[in-house]
Amino acid sequence: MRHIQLIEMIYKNKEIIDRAFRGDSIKNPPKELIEDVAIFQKVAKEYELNDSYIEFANIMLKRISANYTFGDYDEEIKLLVRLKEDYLQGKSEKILNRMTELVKTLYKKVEIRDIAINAKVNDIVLDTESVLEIVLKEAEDVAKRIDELMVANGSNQKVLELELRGLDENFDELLTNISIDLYILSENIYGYHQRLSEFILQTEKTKRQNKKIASLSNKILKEDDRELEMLLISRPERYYHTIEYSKKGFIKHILAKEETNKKEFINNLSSQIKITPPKRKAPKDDKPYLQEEAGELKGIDIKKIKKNIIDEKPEDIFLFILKHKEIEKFKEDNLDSIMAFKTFMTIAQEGRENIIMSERYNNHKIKEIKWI
Amino acid sequence: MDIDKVFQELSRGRIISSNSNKDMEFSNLLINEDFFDEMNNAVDKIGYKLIGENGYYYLAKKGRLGVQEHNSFISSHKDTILAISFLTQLNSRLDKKSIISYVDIIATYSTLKVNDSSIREKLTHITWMKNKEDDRDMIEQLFKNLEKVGIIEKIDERNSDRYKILDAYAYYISIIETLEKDDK
Repeated sequence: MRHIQLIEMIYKNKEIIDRAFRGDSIKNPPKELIEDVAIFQKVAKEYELNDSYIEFANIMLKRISANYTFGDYDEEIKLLVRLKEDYLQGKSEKILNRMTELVKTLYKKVEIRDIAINAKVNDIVLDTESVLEIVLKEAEDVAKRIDELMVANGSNQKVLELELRGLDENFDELLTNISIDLYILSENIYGYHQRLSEFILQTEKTKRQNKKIASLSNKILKEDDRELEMLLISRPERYYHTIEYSKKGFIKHILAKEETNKKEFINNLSSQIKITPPKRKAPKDDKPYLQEEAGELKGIDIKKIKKNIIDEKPEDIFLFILKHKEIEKFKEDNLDSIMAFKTFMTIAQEGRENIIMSERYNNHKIKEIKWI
Repeated sequence: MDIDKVFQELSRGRIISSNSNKDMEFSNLLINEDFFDEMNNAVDKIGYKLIGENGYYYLAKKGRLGVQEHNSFISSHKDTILAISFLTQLNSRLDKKSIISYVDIIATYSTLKVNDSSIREKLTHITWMKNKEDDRDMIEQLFKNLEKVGIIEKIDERNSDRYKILDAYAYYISIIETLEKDDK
């Protein structure tokens, strides 16, 4: 069967496939959906959609199935390192082709994983139906897995960006292109983690709040609520201190009859104050943000480095960047090589038309690239 | 006269919330610092205090309360806390700005009360209830009263099922947070 025929078959049976996708068990799906293509599989006496189809549909719809696992692709990375060793022994073109395919597949998997994580985080954060404990547990599990992936990403990127280089010019170019895209995907993961952490904090707060609400209402039911009464009727000065700092006043009450004689009240009020239309202005900021103390944040002025490269046209861009003042400031944190490499990739990517790649490798196993 | 309008609303014993569509006209006035000060000075002359915090506004009385108003005051606070507790027991995700469905609350209540009679006890303890034999009637009463005091609001006047939790919810949470400490 060809792909176009598969699409036609899915279209022809769209109603029944959609019903199954929405969770219905199907008793007698068309035979072609079981025998010709295994879209349906038998579970007990009824039929359900094949897991592979569900996974495909979820990824295309940017959704995530409940049993989807976020892989760290450690095995693929290990295989690439092993293939590199094999290649260095025999220089076989076949091994290099296999490595090329593996790197491309790995990138696709990481990209799909990114869509899946984003969808999962959305599902969790936007879910207002599930019971708090369940959604909190799910959020914590996913956050833990994202933690692990962030660690794995670091070492995987190191292999792709540094260890696999220097085998072949085209392969190096592929690594450069893919590494930049992977860097963006890896930044996304930090964003998802941040979003999930904020959600967990807020949900835990709601959980604690619910416990307190339940505790106080039990006291009211048992008439063991003297503390609440005392709080409410305490003297204004005392009340000021016990409710909230910002509360300048006292207790809310139901107005007495004579006080609700609005007509009289308004008349008295009008005679005492002159009302002019107020001018809108923002409320006073009585809690201004404190200025952060000078921290250890360091940035790289890539434009400056690029300008220096264009002016000086170095024989080896990577070595030039590595010795640049903008990079040297990362030396004390031992991050100079990785920062130099990221800058190198960004500049090489942006200036593809202006670089020439030589056949030689420098002592950092990176091909010498010259700016023209 | 804007002060007149706002005073009329607040003097009904309501809390005005910034996220209320119905009270938008009033909260837009109260967010203006000049107007707030002017209003506060005005009510101060007859022994009240205008409180504005965490997105809600209400009137407070300076000085002691009379016996009758003292009892109503305590009772109304207890009722509202029980009503909030009733809703959070049925919807653990409840917080200010969340959306609740009247139909969902009825359905969850019907399931829960089979195994947990305390949920019904909570409902019958609230003094707003007129007919304590009819659960559905009590829940309807609970929604009406929460709407009246400004804790919830219909998202659409034509739809009596979906309600928004207003910022005033935080007023009661602040009292609860003051009294109930975190587990150590």
